[in-house]
Amino acid sequence: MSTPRAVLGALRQTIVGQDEVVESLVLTLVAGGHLLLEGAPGVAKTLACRALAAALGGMFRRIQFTPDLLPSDIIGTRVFDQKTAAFSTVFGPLFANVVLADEINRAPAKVQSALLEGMQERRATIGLETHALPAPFLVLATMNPYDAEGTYPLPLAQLDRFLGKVIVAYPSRDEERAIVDRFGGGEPPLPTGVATLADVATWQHEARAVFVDPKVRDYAVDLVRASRVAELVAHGASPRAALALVTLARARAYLEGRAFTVPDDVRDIAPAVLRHRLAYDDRIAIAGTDPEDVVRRIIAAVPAP
Amino acid sequence: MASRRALRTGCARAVSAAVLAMLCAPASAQGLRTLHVVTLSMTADRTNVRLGGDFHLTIHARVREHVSALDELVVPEVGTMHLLGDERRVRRGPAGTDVDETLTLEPIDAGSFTLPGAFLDAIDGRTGKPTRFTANAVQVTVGPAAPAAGNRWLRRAALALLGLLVAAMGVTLALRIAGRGRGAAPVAVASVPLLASASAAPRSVVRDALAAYCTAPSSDTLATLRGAVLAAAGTAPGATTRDALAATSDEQLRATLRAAEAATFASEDARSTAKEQFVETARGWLK
Repeated sequence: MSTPRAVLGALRQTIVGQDEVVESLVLTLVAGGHLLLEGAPGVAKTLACRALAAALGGMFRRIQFTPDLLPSDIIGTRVFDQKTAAFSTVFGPLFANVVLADEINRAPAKVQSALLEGMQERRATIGLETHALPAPFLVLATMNPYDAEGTYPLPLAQLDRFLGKVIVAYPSRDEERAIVDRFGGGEPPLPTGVATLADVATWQHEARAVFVDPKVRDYAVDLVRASRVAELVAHGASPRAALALVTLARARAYLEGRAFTVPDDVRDIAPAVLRHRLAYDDRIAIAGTDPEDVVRRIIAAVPAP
Repeated sequence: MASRRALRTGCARAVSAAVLAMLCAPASAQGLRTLHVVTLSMTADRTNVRLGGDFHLTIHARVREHVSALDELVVPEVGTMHLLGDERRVRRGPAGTDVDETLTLEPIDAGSFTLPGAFLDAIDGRTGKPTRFTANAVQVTVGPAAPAAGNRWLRRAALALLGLLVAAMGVTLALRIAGRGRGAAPVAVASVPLLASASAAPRSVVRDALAAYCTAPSSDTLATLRGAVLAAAGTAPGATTRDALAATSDEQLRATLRAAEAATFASEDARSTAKEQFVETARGWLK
């Protein structure tokens, strides 16, 4: 059986830099959640997702979200077959193991809701029939923070469905040179056959068995509760954030080959878990404070056990 | 200003700190109001004052909206003055609302002081953007005390004890109100676990903690021992194992830190072995 570390290694062979993004992808896969990636165009968000799907050998689908997209475009629909004189079901791109929802904030709320319902319930209803989505099922959604004109920002309740959010930053100068060298002659082949879908199911099962000491659990809860009373925060993180912290901490311990979680697991993944779950006070704009600084302060203010 | 004389009693000075703290605190953490701010200015009735004297600082705000109060208004920090009184007037007219906040201030030091402008944060009704509106600053020159005011300091000293008591009550009340407004139980927030590089705990602390743990093994003595090992690496309470590992290059201590982590956080079935390893590595480091 392969290991999550093997997938991590394969992704690092393909993606230059972006260590946090690559690790977050693998952690989210092991944790059985969904991930939101925010970054400027051309920073390898899509490539990272495609590389992960290729490494697993599962079915990969990409949905480019646009303002005219309809729920049936992603879930599927019923069509009438004249030969058989009966309706048949055509499954949409949501029925895949790895779904890349590109620029998720460009589609209206009803399409976002259809996707997010699938993410939460892991099933979709087409006509009168409800169909289970394949397992493992991983949604990787991207957002571009810049072209905000004509977008439909995701409400907090929907953002909460994502286990984590990572910021895909611009690469460093050395990394950018390496990108030009590696991709200048065309896109290199993606890693294939690194792991199987059955391996992923096993990892997810084993990760759920990783031990969480009550002190580590309390640390996760305290971080989430601290977010609700933090300066410049109008609405803090929900209890789902505490669950996400513990779930991802388990995945991280599993990735590192430990059978128990430690406070560093929680602290390391806390920014990804908290940053999209906080609603900020309007004064943050006046103060010119970076929201990432607020998250950092929340984490720094809670002592680790 | 009828209340001014009463405020000049002893407790007024002490209450001033608490009142000022509340006045200076930012408004609620909820979203900003949309306001069309027409005027925001600050004036003093006297800009040359003697020690022992007082003056009035008036902040005037006019907004186009009809509002009952302007809680967004934050008065300037007047750290070099005693706040003797505070009076607020709100007048609503056809052109909007005028708010006058008048502070009665008594300087406590001689010199030239610039009082920074009061401000209010709001969504600017003209642009729709969060904006800080700031009033002009005011400069006040404070000269030496008049000869007759010599015994004023004695009176102040006599009232200081009573003042402290009242101030403490005021702050407690303010904190309670703030806590109730939040609607959520406050979380114990500790200081940032910064690395205290030069304050590594001596080995004797670890040795004592190890002896205590070996004598009476419990989760408490284990936590004390782990805390001593983390401190030995030069970290403050609240730091993680990685913080401590980054702070020391002592390989034996690093091994002890890792063993301490396993002994503290591993599952029950693996913990007894991890505890034994922790004790062994700690002894090895102490040798």
